[in-house]
Amino acid sequence: MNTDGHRGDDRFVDQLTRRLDARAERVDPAETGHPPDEDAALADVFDEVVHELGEEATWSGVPFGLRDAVLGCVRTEADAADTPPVTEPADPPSLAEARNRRSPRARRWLLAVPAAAAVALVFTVGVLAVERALEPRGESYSAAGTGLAPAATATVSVLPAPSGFKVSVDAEGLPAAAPGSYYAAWLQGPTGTVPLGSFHGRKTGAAIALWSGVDPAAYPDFLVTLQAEGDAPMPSGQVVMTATLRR
Amino acid sequence: VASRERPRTDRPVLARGVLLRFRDGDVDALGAVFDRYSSAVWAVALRVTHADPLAQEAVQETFVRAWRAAGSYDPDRDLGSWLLGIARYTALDVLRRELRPTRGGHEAEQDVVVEPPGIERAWVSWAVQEALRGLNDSEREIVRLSFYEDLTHVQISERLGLPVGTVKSRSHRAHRRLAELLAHVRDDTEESGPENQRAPGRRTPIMTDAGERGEA
Repeated sequence: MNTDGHRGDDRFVDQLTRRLDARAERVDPAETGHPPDEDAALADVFDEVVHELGEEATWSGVPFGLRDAVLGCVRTEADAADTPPVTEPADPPSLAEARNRRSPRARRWLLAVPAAAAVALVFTVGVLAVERALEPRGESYSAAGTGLAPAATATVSVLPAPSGFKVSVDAEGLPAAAPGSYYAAWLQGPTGTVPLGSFHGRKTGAAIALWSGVDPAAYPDFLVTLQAEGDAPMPSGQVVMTATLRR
Repeated sequence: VASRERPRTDRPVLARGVLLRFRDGDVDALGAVFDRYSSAVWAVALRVTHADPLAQEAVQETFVRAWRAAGSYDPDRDLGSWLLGIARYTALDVLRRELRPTRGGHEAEQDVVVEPPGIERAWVSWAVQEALRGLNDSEREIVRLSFYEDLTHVQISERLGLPVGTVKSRSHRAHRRLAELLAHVRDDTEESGPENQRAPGRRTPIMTDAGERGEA
């Protein structure tokens, strides 16, 4: 950056520092005795910075468990990409969007396949079929709806994974959460309650993927609660579905 | 104005080896990228979606999309800017998806229009989030108490058990440091032109690590 740029930066830093100081001291910037911000555009930027510093999004931090969810999802996809292809028919690829990217190794492998589009399509469908056929299922349990959702049933599958336990919930009859609300899944045991994640259930056709950082054997009570946005991050008491993850 | 050491804004935060492994689809490298940028992505996602569950979905999808597209990432370019672009549009996608007709039939069929301020402010959210990473813990806490909890210097001094004068001096120091770390916003504003002053930045605002942060 040139000298003018440095001077401009200095002026910017001085002005923004004054603005932040004034805000912290509850002083109107116009009363500080300093000249007003010279550039209206920068004044807007300063306003936005001050606004952002007061926003919950700036300070709330990333929810616990999101990292494991991301890496778990990607590992599953990477593993699937390494699976050899077959050409047997498969169900409609509801996960097609989630599978349309392969790892570099898989991309190189794909290049070795004859380029005809039909073959590629069969290959992709075949990979999905094998992926589903070979996907470990883990232990499965039945969940039932409570009085709040009497028609709801679900199969809850627990699968140990390197980063935790993948908990899949294949639910039926569970009404979609209304706008402003959502479902949250939990594990409870003698030592406390652990969140598994949240979902709204407004689209069907795929199991709900949740993750646990604790062994469900020590937290055998599975429950789903209906939560209102803005509520504290703890079970609301509106339990809509329960299961016992114990043989 | 007295000269001062300018914040270093061009030093890679993640080792080049990590960036190369990320480009090659390495999952552990993605974990390192998540650790470095998830706070900023989260802030952007919340800014655009205004809802925690949607923001979670957007963050997850952002990193999955980034991993899928990593083969097109140039390790010589700033990863933060590249990721910010994905985060903004992914958050928009999630919001649009959410607003489409649903099984519950809550909304009528319609073209979804996302309010521009949400997406435009995403850039400032990102820049502020990155700048806060450049403060040490005590500076960041004072800024949080002052701006987020809206406490006065006296209240902060009582909360932290510090003399008011110490709170004031640390507060001023934190503000100046923050302003220095946000100085690139001026460049981006000028280069974008006044009519487009909130365009996404072309580089990750702040490059810091714990080793650079001074203690109060």
